[in-house]
Parts: sequence; structure tokens; C-alpha cells
Amino acid sequence: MLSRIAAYFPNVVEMQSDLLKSLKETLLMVGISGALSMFFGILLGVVLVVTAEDGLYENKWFAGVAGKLINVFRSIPFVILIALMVPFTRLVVGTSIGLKGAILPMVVGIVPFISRVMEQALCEVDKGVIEAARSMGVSKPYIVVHVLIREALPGIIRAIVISFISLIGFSAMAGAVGGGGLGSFAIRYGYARYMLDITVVTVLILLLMVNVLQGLGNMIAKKMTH
Amino acid sequence: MSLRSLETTGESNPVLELKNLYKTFQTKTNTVEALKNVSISVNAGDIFGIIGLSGAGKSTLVRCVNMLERPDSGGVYVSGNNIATLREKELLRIRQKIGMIFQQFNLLKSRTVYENVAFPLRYLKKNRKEIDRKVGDMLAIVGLTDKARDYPSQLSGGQKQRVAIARALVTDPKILLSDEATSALDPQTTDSILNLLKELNMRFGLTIVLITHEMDVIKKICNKVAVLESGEVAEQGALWDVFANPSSDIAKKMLSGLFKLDNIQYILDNVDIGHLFRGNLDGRGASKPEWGWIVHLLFKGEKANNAYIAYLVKEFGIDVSILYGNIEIIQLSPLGSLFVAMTGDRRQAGKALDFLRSEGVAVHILKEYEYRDKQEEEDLC
Repeated sequence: MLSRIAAYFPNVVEMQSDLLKSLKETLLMVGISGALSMFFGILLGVVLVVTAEDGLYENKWFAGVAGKLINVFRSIPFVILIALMVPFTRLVVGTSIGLKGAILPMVVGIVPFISRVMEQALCEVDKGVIEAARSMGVSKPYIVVHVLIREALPGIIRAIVISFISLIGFSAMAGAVGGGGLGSFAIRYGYARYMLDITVVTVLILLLMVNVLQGLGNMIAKKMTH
Repeated sequence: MSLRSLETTGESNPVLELKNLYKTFQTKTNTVEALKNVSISVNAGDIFGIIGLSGAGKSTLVRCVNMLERPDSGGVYVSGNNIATLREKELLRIRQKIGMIFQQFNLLKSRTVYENVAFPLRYLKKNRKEIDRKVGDMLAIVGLTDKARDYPSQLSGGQKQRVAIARALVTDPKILLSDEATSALDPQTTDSILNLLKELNMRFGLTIVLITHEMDVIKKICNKVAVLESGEVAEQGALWDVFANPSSDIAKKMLSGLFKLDNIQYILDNVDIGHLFRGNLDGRGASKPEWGWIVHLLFKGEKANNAYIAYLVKEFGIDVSILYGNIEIIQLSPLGSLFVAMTGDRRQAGKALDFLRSEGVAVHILKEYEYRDKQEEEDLC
């Protein structure tokens, strides 16, 4: 059985170790850039919401500038962003290629997106609940953590899942410009050497990753929704 | 504690005083004066109702009490201290002593009933034993002990408001602000929530400031009322005084529903009221009346039971016929409302009304009728 399936994917069998190495690279890229960008993205999302009109720390000027800046970054296609960032990436991490060179552009590329989906999730929290907490004499930082973020948690989980899925896509693109990982694996062999089976298997692996992630996220979000 | 003892008067120190509050909102197209020179004084143990139509500034006013909304000018005195000048950080401690409940309950959806009530205590870093005891006590008071592990989405509107009340009172505030707390509830649930508020007021001496657009709510539990119109206090005072002798148009309008004044007004506007008086005398075969009054009488408390009408007829020799009457229960005591048509000797009728006034009956002459030839001709057709 296994050997018959293997017959359809001769190149995959041959490059098994390369494939595994690429998978590891992708997981690393997505994991590290994900962790970093979640942190900054959530932070920025919270800042956007609390500085917005009628927010806890209303600051129209700041909210306006931050919003515009995010829009600028979001309108740059990721492949172009990578190229644009090359000098900066070199300056910060010393190289613009490989795993190390890919992470920084990925973070910069995804943070504006995450901040927007976070903003959306946080906006779902009823303003009245925040007002109720204020009426109890609860301090603003406490409200942000224990009311705003806590109440938005199911939405935040969903937003995180969406962001990670986008990151997986970004990682493939980063791979195409020398970042390593499944993307570069598929381009190098599947595309450049016409090894179609490699492309197919890569797609299947990505499909599996995305589905597992989405399923897991939905499950957690559902558990948290009352 | 009897109900009457709660009707404290100006002698005691007000627990809450709003002085000359102004608040203006700036929108893109215009400015809205939400509060214009509003002054209100609330004594300990009062259930102070603020009533007004939507847009009258009620919500802004009640939010000024705990500084969720800062007035442009004026003072907010809680137990004699002006909190309008405090900074946000200093306000936290004041707010912890003023509970607040809302129309939309505003419970934390991600937390159980228990955790909702425990929320203010957790913020204050109380120890677990104390939290457990306080939350247990509060849930028992509002009658939701068995719902402690439920989430808000599993509760009915009335139960949600009970949780909100427990949460607002778990830190032992002396004042409770109620922002249209019963407006999203059906009449029966409204009654049960109002009864709970009244009970908390009587048992713990809780001072309540409630805003509403429903006269029914005011009628049921308030001992004082302020009527707000376009950001100004049209009138305020003890409930009975405002109900019996409303001086402002807006108060009269809002009370008209309560006394079914609209029905009477319809009759006065659309029916030849000459009939109302003629009926009096025709039975006796006397001459047609040339003059008459339609009068609205309000009797308070035990006076509602007195046989005034028979007395007036006997003592002043005038004719009094009853058009319409009803009894409202206000703060657990009856308030009788009676519409009568009076005719006979005008001076005697005037004396009769003076007599009623001296008895503490509120008297309002709604309409004066005078016989006219033309009317007579029409009637004959």
C-alpha cells in the first residue's frame, strides 16, 4: 500500500530528508515570527481600541496617525515588502536571507494585519460593560486586562488563528526569496525542476497545517464562548 | 423601619448634592446643552427619581454623580466633599462607594454569576474567604444562590439585573445609581426588581438615585422626584407634592397618563360639556345651569376614603356630579383622583373648593363652562 502511494511521489521519497528539514524550517519561521507578531499585534490592537474615540485612553491624534501608518504597511504586497526591507533586515539581523532573514519581514508584514483583526475582536466588547467596570472604581489598566481582553478572548483566539494562517502563506512567500522552508522547497524542486509531486505534497502538508490550526482555534474559541 | 421614617426632610445633611451643573456636548454639526444649571439634593435613605423624556439629559446627569461624565462646571458633593475637582485616580475610591446598575445589565459574559459579583472584590484584592462570604450573602439577598455557577447568557432579564444589583452592592456602597434599570424588562419583572430596590432601601438604608422615563416606576418606589426637561430641572420635590400640584407643563404632561387626564381632556374638547351640567339639574326639574366647573381633585392617603362629595352637596348647596375617578397606590399609600362637574352658586362653589384645599385636597379647575345661546340652539337641533 505504502509503496504504491510512494510510486506516485518518486521525488518526494527521494528528498524525504529535505522535505522534513523544510517543514521544520516553516514551523520555526511561523512559530518565531508568530510569537513575536502576536505580541506586537495584540499590543497595537489594544492601543488602537483604547485610543479610539470614546476609548479608555482617548487620543484622537495618536489613533489617527497609528491607523494611517497601519494602512500604509497593509497596502504593500508582502513580496515587495521583503525586497524593500532588505537593507533594514541586514542592519538588524545581519542577513537578509535564510530563516533569520525571513522572520523580520514576516513580523513587519503581519503585525499591521493582526492589529486590525485584534481591533475588530476588541471592538466586539460591549462599551456598557467597560462603563460598568469604571462605575465600580476599577482602574483603567485593570479594565484593559480583565474586562476588555478577557471578554474579547474568543474573538482574539479566532483572530490569532487567522493571523497564523496568513503567516503560513507569508512563510511560503518568504521561502521563494531565499527564506527556506516549504515554500522554497516547492519552488526549488516542484516548480524549477518540474517535480509536480513535490508541489502536491507541499500543498497537502500546508492544507493539513491550516486545517488543524483552524479546527483547534474553533474548538478553543467555542469553549470560551458562554 | 417604617416607610414614613424614610421620608427625611431638609433638616438632615444631604448625602449627595449636585450644584449648578452644566454640561455641553460638541458634535460635528451643533452643540447640545445636556445639562443647564441642574441642582439636586438627595438625603440619606431617599429613593430619588429623576424622570424625563429621552434626550432630557437624565443619563448625563446620573453619570455626573460618579464622574463617568465630567460636568463643564458645577459641584458634585458626596457626603459634603466636592468630587468634581478630583483627578481620575482619586475618583476610583469614590466610585467604589457608589454602585451603579444599567438598562442593559452590563454583565461580564465570559464569567459566571459568582465571578461577576466577585469582580469588584477581586480588584480590591480581598481574600478568598471574604469574597466567598460576601458573594454568597449578596446572591442570597437577590435570590440567586442556585445560579452562582451559571453564565449570564443562561439567565432571564430579571435575573441578569439581580446579578447586576448584587455586583453593584457587594462593596457596600451607600448610594446606588440606577440608569433605566427596568426599562428593558416586562412589567412583572419590573415590579419584582423595584420591590427588591425598595427592600434594599428599607433594610440597609440604601440611598437610590434612579432615572427613568416611566412615571409608573417613580410612582412605585420614589419618595422624591425631579422632572428634567431639555437639560433643566422643571421641578422637584416630595413625590406627593409634585403629583398633586405639578407646576411645570412637562410634569403635568407626564402625570396626565397616570390620572387618565387624556380621557377627560378628550371629553372636554370634543363633547358639549353643557350636558355634563344639565344632567345635574334636569333630574330635579330645575332651570338650566348657566355656569359650571370641571374640577380635578386629588386625595392623599386616608383622605381618599372620606365622603367629601356628599358633604359638599349638603354643606354648600351646590351640585357635584362625578365624571371619572380612580385610585393609584403611590409609595404604598392610596392617592385618589376624581374628576367632577360642579355647578350651582358660583360663590358657594368657590367656598367648597377652599374647604377642600384646607383639607389638604389638591384642586385643579380644568375648565369653566358658561351658558351661551348659540350652544343652546345647537343642542336643540
